[in-house]
Order: sequence, then C-alpha cells, then structure tokens
Amino acid sequence: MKPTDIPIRLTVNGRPYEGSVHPGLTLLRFIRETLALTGTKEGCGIGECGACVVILDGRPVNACLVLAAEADGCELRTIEGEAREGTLSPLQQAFVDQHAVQCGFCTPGMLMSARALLDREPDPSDEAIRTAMGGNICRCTGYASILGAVKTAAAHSRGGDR
Amino acid sequence: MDQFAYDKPRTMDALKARLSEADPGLAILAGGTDLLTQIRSRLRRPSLVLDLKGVPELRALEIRDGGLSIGAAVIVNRIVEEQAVTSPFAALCQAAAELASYPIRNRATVVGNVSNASPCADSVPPLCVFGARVVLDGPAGCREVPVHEFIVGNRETRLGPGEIVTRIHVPTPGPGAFSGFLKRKRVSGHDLALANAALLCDPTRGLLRLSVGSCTPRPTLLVLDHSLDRPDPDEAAAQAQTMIHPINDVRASVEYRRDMVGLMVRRLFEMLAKARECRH
Amino acid sequence: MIPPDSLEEPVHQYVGGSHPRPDAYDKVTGEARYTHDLSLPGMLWARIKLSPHASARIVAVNTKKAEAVPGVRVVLLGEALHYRLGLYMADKRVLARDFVRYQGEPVAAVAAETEEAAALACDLIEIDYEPLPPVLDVEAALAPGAPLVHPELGTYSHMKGVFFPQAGTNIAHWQKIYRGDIEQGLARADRVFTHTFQQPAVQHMPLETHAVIARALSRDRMEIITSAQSPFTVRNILAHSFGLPHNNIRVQIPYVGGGFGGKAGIHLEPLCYLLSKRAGGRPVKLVCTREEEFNTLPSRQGLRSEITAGVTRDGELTALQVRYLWDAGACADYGVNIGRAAATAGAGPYRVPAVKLDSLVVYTNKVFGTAFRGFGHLEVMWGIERNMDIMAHALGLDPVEIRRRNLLKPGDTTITGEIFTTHHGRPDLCLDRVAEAIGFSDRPREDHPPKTVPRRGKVRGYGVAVLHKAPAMPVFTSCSAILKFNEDASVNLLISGVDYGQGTYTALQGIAAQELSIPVERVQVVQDCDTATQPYDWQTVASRFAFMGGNAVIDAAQDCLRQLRDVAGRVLNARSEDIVCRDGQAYVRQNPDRKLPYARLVLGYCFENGNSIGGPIIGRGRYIAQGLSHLDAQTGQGKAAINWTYGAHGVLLEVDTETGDVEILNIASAFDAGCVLHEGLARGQVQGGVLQGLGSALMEGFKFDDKGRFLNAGLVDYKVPTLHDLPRQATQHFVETPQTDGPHGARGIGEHPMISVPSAVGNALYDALGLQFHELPLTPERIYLAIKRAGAEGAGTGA
Repeated sequence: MKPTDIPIRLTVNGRPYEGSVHPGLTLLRFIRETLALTGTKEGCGIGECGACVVILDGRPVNACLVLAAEADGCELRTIEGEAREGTLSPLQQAFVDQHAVQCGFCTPGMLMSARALLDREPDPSDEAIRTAMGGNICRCTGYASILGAVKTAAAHSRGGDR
Repeated sequence: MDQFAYDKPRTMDALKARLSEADPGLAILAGGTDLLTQIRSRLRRPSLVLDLKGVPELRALEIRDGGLSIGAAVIVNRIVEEQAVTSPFAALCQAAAELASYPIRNRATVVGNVSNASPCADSVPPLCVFGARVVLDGPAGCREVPVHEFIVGNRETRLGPGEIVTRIHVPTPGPGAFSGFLKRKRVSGHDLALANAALLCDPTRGLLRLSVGSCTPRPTLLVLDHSLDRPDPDEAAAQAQTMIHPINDVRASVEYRRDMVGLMVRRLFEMLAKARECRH
Repeated sequence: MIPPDSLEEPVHQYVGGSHPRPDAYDKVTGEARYTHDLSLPGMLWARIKLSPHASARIVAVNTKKAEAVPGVRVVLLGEALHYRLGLYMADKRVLARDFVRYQGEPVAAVAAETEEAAALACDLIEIDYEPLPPVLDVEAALAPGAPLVHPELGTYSHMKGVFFPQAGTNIAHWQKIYRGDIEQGLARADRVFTHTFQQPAVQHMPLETHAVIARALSRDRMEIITSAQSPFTVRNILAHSFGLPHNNIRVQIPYVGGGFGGKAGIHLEPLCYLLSKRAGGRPVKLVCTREEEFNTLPSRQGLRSEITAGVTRDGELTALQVRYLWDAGACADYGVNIGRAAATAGAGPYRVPAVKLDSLVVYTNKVFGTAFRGFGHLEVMWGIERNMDIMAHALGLDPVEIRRRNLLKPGDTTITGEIFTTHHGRPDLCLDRVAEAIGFSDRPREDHPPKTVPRRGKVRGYGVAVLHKAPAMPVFTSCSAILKFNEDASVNLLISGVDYGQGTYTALQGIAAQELSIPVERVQVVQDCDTATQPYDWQTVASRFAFMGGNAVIDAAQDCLRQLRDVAGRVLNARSEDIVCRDGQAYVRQNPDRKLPYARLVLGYCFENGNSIGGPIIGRGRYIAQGLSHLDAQTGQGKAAINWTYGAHGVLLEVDTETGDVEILNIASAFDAGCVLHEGLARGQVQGGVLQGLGSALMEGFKFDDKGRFLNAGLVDYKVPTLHDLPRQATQHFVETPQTDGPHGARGIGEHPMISVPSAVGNALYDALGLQFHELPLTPERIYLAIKRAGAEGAGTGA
C-alpha cells in the first residue's frame, strides 16, 4: 500500500497546528524538523533515556515512540511552552537556582516529566518523583539537584504562585 | 522511518473491514512502544500500520461479565491509576507499576504486552494466575483463549489471520483473595525482568495459582489448588524451578535466574502468609 | 563620597560563591543549540556501515545497489583513503581498509539527501568478509604467536620519546615506573600479598551522541561544526592528517551534551569532511545513533591489574610490583596516554620505597578505549585500594589506620621522583572527613567482617578508599584567554576550552568578574567555541581547565586593569599605580572622589574638547604548564604533574544477601580542592561523579561473546544509574589547602569524584559479607553467586 500523507490537527503549546505528515514520521522528528522546536532532544530513539519526553494530552510520553499521525487531535506541550513570554516558570527557575542543569541535554525531557507530575500531583512524595522521573536519564548531575529542584518547585506552587 | 501507510479506523466495523483484507504487511499499532523500535531497527517493515486507538470500545477499562475487561488500547498506567476498578487485581497493578518506565507506560498497552508474546512480559504472570482470557475477533467471529495458552512461543501466539485481540477479560477473584507480583531485574531503575512471578490465592474459588515469567518461551501456570489450606512455599518453589528452563543470556545466568525464581516464590508465599495473618 | 579605607573592602566576590550558571537559562528553555539541532542549506545526511566481525579480511565490496538508491550522493570506502590518524599515535583509519579490527568499525559511509536514503544505502552495500580469529583479551593478546591487531605497528607515527610501541606485538605502549630496589623491598616485607583485579570497558554515555556537520570548501578549506571537547585539537589533527595549513580549517563547537572524555581527541570529523568533499562541497551531517555510540565510538578501556605488595606487620608498604594490562581495543591513539598517565599514579597516594610498575597498553579486537573521566585512575585505584583493605584485614589493622600510615607526607617522594610538599594537599584530611561522615570509627565491629558469610536478610558494611589524580597532558600544554569590553563596560570572555556541562565557564565568569570588580552578570563567556575567533587552548580534559583557564583569565583581567589604570591615570592626573579599579569604577586611591566609570574608559576616553586617548581595551591572558618534564624511558622518573588533587570516599551500604542487591545508604566524598571556586558547581561535580562511579561499581560493563560480538551495545542491556539509584544520603566535603600556582589556590576536581568509588564499595562489601571481590561490576548476580559459593565452601573465599 502506497503511503499517503496523513492530515493532522493538534495544538502545540496552546497554538493550533494543521498540516499533513508522512505516516512514518515520528512525533519527535515532527517536533524537531517540521515544527523546528529543537528543545526536545533525541538520546536513544527507543524510549530508554527520556531526552525526548513531551506532554501529550497531559501525559508525558517518549516522542521517539509515537508517530506524528497519532498526535492528531491531541494537545502537545514541549519545553518551548514552559516559559511564559520570556519569563521562566517556577520549575525552570528552580532548576537554574539549584544547579540542576549541567550539559543540559536531558533537561527539556526532565522538565516535561516534572511538569506533568506537578500538574497531576502538586505535592509529590520522593517516591512519586522517582516513579515519574526514573525514565529520564541524566549522566551529569547525579540527580540530587534535580530531585531538589522539583521539590522546590512543588513547594512554590503550593504557595499558590504560578 | 520506513515506507508504510497509516490508518486509524473509528469504528469496530471499519477496523474489522481493514483486517479482513488480510494484508501480510499489516502491523497493529496500539501503544507502539514495541512496534516503533522494531521498525527503527528494521526488524519489521510493515506496509500498513493500523492504529487501534480510534475505536472507542477498545479504550474501555471496566468491570464487565464478572471480571475486569481491558480493551486493546488501554495503556498500562491506567491499570495503576484506575484503582476503583483494578484494585481487586493487586498482582496485575503491581506488575503494571513495574513495567518499563513511567512515560513508556503512558503509551504501552496491556494487550500489546501480551500480544507481543515476549517471554519477559511483566503483565503475563499475573494474567495467567487470574485465569485471564484473551478475547479475539476476526473473520470466524469471536473466540476466547486463556492467556497462558494464547502465547505459544517466543513472540508467537495463536492469533489467526485477520484476527485481533480486542480485549482481555480477567475474572474477578473472590472476596478475601490475595495476589502478588515480584520482579527481578538488574537495576532498581527500569529494566526488563530477568525473572518475574505472580501468585493468586483465592479461597472462595478454591484457587492457588503460581506463574513464573522470563524463564520459558511460553507462560507457565502452576496449579496448587490442592494445597490451598496448607501452602508449602518450598514445595511450590521446587515445582516452579522444575517447570522453568531458563537460558544464559546477557541479562542473567541460568543459575541466578533459577535461584531468583525460588526466592520470589518463597517471598510471595511469605506475603500471602502475612496477608492471611492480617485478616485473622 | 567613599572614604579611602573602604576601597579595600571586598565587593563583587564570586570565588567560593554560587552564582547561577549563565548557560542554564538557555538549557531550561530549550533554546540551547547543540550540533544535533543544527542544519545548513543544502545539507546531506550521512550514515555508516559497520563491521559485523571482530576481525576479518575485507574480500570484496559491492556498492552498486547502494549507489542506485534515490537520493544517494556519495558512497565512500576505506580503500580510497590512505590516512591514518590519532592524537598520540596514528593508528586509526577513517574507514576500515583491507581488514576490520572490531565489530562496529566503520567500513563504508554514505551521504544522501535524507537520513533514510543513507541508511537504506548502507544496508544495501554488500561486503564479503573472510573472518579471522579475533584476540579478545589482554592475556591472549600478549601470548606468543597471538594474531596481531596491527601488524604494521612499527611504522605508525607517534609522539616519540613519550610512547613506546613494541613492533611485532600487540603492545601499543609500555610504560615503566621503576624506583628503588624491588627485590630488597619485597625481602624487607613481613608479608607479601599478590592479587589480580579486573574490570571491563564501559561507555561514557553522554546524552548527546557524537554529531558532526562538515563542509568542504574550495582551495582545500573546510568548516566543521562538531560536538567535540577540544576545537583546537580537532583542527590540529585534521591539519596534520590532510597536510593542510591550520588556517584552512575552521572548527566550531556549539553547546555539547556531555563528553566525559569520550569527545576529546578526534572522531568522525575527518569522515564527514571527506564525504562533503566528494559531494562537491555540500555540507554533510552525521549524528550517531545510540547503538553506534556503543559499537563504533570509543569507551573506557578495560584493565587487568596484577599487584604484588610487600608490607611490614605494622602495615607499612615496603614494595609494590604491578603489572597493568590495559585492554585498549582495536585502537590506542588516546589509550596509550592512559597507560602512561595512570601509571604515574599507579601506586595510589602512598609512600612506596620500591616500585616496579609495568603498564602495558594492549590491542585487542574490540571497540577501542579513550579518555574517560578519571583517565585510568578509577581503574588502577580499584586494585590498589582493594588490595589495601585485603592487607589491612590480613594484618588485623584498621582500614583507615593502614592508609594513614602510608599516605604521602611532606618530604616524601612519589613513585616518579616528585617531592611531596605542604602545598600538594592533604589526603589524610580527606580520609578523616569521609570516615567521620559515615561514622566509620563507630561502626559495629562484632562479626564485621563476618566469619561466616550471611545468607539470609540484609547486612550492612562500611568502606573507605582514597584517591589522587593529576592532569595528564603534554609537557607544553597551554591555554589562553581574551577579555574584551563592550560599550557599556560589560565584558566578553573568549576562551576555547569547552563547557560541555561541567560548569567551568561559570567559574571563570566569576573569576573574571571578581578580578575586574564588576557584577558577574556583566561578564559573558562566549558559548560557541570557534578556532577562527577564539584564542588557543589545547584540550578540555584532565580537570585542567579551571586551573589553567583560571590562571589565563586572571592574567587577562590583570592586563585589562593595567590598561584601565593607564588611561584613568592620564585622565585623572594620577600615577597609574595609584588608580584602584573597584565596582566598575577607576578611583584615585588617595582621593576616591576622583573617579571614572569603566564605561568612559573601555573604548578610549574622550576629553571635553574632543581629544581622545586610549582605545578599546582587550585583555590578553595565557598560561602554560610549568616545569613538566618527559619521563625517563627506562624508569619513568620525572615531573609528570602540574598539580595533584587528593580525595577519599566513605561508603555505608546494605546488601540483600538473598538477591545480591546493594543499596548505598550513605556516601561521603572529600577532596582537597585547594580553593572551591564555585560551591554549587563543585557539589554538582561531586554528586554527578559519585553516581557515575556507582555506575562503574555496580552495573556497567561491556559484554562480548567468544566471537567478539558486543552483547549489550545499547541502553536496553547496558544500564546506567537512574533517579532510583540515588544514594539515600550523600555528602560532599572540601579541604582547601591552597595550590601555590592555582587560580585563587584552586585545583581541578572534575574527574576525581568518580575515582575510587568502586574501591570504597568493594571494601564496604567485604565489611558486610567477609567476601573479597576482585572484579567489577559488582552486580547483584555476582554478589549473590559469591555469597552462595561461600556458603557452599565455607567462609573466607574470594570472588
């Protein structure tokens, strides 16, 4: 069967997108190449590292294991949607303040996993953070500062300011 | 990625119509976490990818006909999250929580985990002990096959041409039943099981069932109903160890697998004993 | 008005503080651009075809089908390429030619309009191989009559007088460190201990895989954008390999997603250049897959350590005879220097009167090794520090006490003949700090280590280990920095060490701001390194960047201040030496109300009548390694190090004896940093290095079958630590014994957190189980089976 492009409509960081995609195109390549949002990274291509985590209909997923066609009708959030008009979110600010960033290549995926967690569980336990973010590999920081940053951001959002 | 067509039927009838074309290059896409890695490594080159997620029935996770019905498009994390319907199936919930990583579980489906027939699938031992049945639909109509018979070998199932697994039916255990799941892996983070095991003790239905995974190409099911009143962990461990025939591979040696199976069985029975104590 | 005294009060102090890292903003927003993210107009995509054999002769290659794939522009084979290249020894082919030497070696490459077309074409290249018996471990490689991985080794160009390849063998380099009379030293010992320790190769696993974009230009010029650690070394090797003037080559390095040594030296840049050249100058991009990162790109070398130590009954070392056999894999262009450098540290930070140490870098038919955080020191310290504990227990000595007795003290001589002085640092204090932090002296002694190996339940164990490392680099290693002022008196710092995550730019930003006495936000370190615009630096490796770069930045800042004082003095009618630069203003010391803001000086001062003096201020700074000497070829004696950083780890762990699972309950790490330049980053380096060290200790290691096939070449079966492996408690401690010639007294600490983590874990396992482990990684399976064997055979056996 001859592949024909698939029409898709979705919202990307709150903005509508309409277009058509090659059936074999992964969501990751769609985001990086078609949408030119290169904040989302590829680290392994098989869902083992979490560098490509984005939020699809509220759930963090590995964009390398989703077809762009599957995102039709979905709400997609990437790292580019996290800051508002150039102002860092408290979560991003916590990563900066706690030195939870080194090479930065895992950071966007890490932040997307954390964002989805805090949206569904504003006051997560350490165990909940481990579960939610255990699929994001960081080879630089040793995770302690990342864990600290997520907890700080959670405390901040409990303070009611977001 | 490869040259394939993509279709996402919106109704069961439309889906079945596509299936009846019996395209040999057809690949079913539910979660995609296996399929897309296989396409990437060029282990599979489908000509048509059929996405199940458009059919509403397949997204249903509900109590129905005396059991839990898990539609083909139900993701693993829903088993963990929707405790209102899944809590009687503790072993399955525990397996779901240990399967791969959190973002993978947001795509991977339970039915996909079973249908791929990987020997280390975490959902299979719990489904076997619960007596779960795979519900198939296809040209010859509907049929049901117990999970432990559905998988016939490493990545081989009894799925017929043009057939599809629409859902899995898991009979609800009786009141006071205990079930548990344990998994051994190389690291504390996400990893494939080097061995896994599930136990069900269901006194009202007279069932004591054990299943061990990752150590045989086909699922195992050990029926210990006769010893329901006096479960003997050592005997069960010994039987489980005879039943399996693990391999040496990059994940573990035969010896470690065999010993860990024995340990997990004993620990499951300890959990059972503790649960019984709590009730008394 | 500021009274004269207050000019001396500190302002804009950043050294030792914790200001935010400027790159973090780009990284948390996704704005940071890595090589992965870049593309150029007209760009082609490359893919590589890999050898499936560990050793084979290439019999025939057919590229017809590949060339017929729509969109394919170039199919390149090794037979067309005569180049051999490498950092210290030119033993690497761009593409395999005639023979393949490891599974995963690139044999052919394709450039095409799309990545898919290139991948498909690679699949369609047909290669006939005649498989040859591979050499898969160091002992087999050293055996008489072993197949030679590099039969032409004797003809390879290499750094002469430093490396000693043995033609007609598999020995790429033989480093000797001989000092004192070994026979006498062993004779003087009350006890002699001989043990062998092993560890496999491991992967750096930077999150960003290697990526290159190359563009061949007319008249033999080229532009390279690459995820490399060292722009000038990439340029230098390209220039030498292709016989081109350096100015024909421009290397640019955007953000880099981790390196850990794996992106030092040179990798895929020459291949991409050649593809671009064949494609008529169209840019060519190659992004490695994670699987290629394992199969094709270099790893950390494996090591076998054969250690014989003589010791008095009081635990004083009398002699150390060591053979280090490095499993270099199929190339050792960088690995030779690991065998050299780690040998200079190969006795541990101890006083050893007699040493006979032979370090052999040995070729095998496996994916090759390169620099990896710690540069051989984690590997040698695994054996040295495990052996130290084995001796302590055999002699009935406390593990901390036996180390204290032997640690280097001022006046002692190291194994390469360097005199240890008071400013070298305090390994003893580091050891004390970690021992105290984990409660080592209060640990339960009863039945620890147990006489009978426990087989049920969980047991705890305590272990310590010390470490040291100096930067390993050529004797003439140098570095430079430029500070240039902008119109508003903000400053750009140009330097070409690369900050691939370690945070050096942030530390240097703080140093520059403090020296110039301006707010740290006013200093911008230019992120993208470019050999065309940035001043020279050798390589970003060896924990030397903060040390050498820091000195160069101070030098550049002083140069700026001289120029500022000169212009200000002329404007304010004061001697330039009476001008004080403080808080962005130039003051006359005796009369601080006479002052000028930097902004009026930095581009030149304009008098009221329009006359102008001065001009744009550009500070130039430089630093070169001081006083290093080549090591004597026969004895290894000489000055090998610009500075040594000492440290220690203490570990409290718990083992589940029924599964072999290990949980790290507490790990304390201490380093004599000389001066902590940036507290947050220093802690981050330690936290990250410790976890990476725990990866080496507990889970990481390459596995090959008997044909040399790589069994766990990907993240499904090669596991690295995740958030689930975070130790329950971890503390970082810093001792600050100033390094006389360090910037603010600082020494490097980037690599050290990883070193000796496995040793401390192994020692704690002995305390917990009474079992001596000799081989890494300490996986649950290895530990469990050792417990089981010991149970079957009685206590006290090794594993």
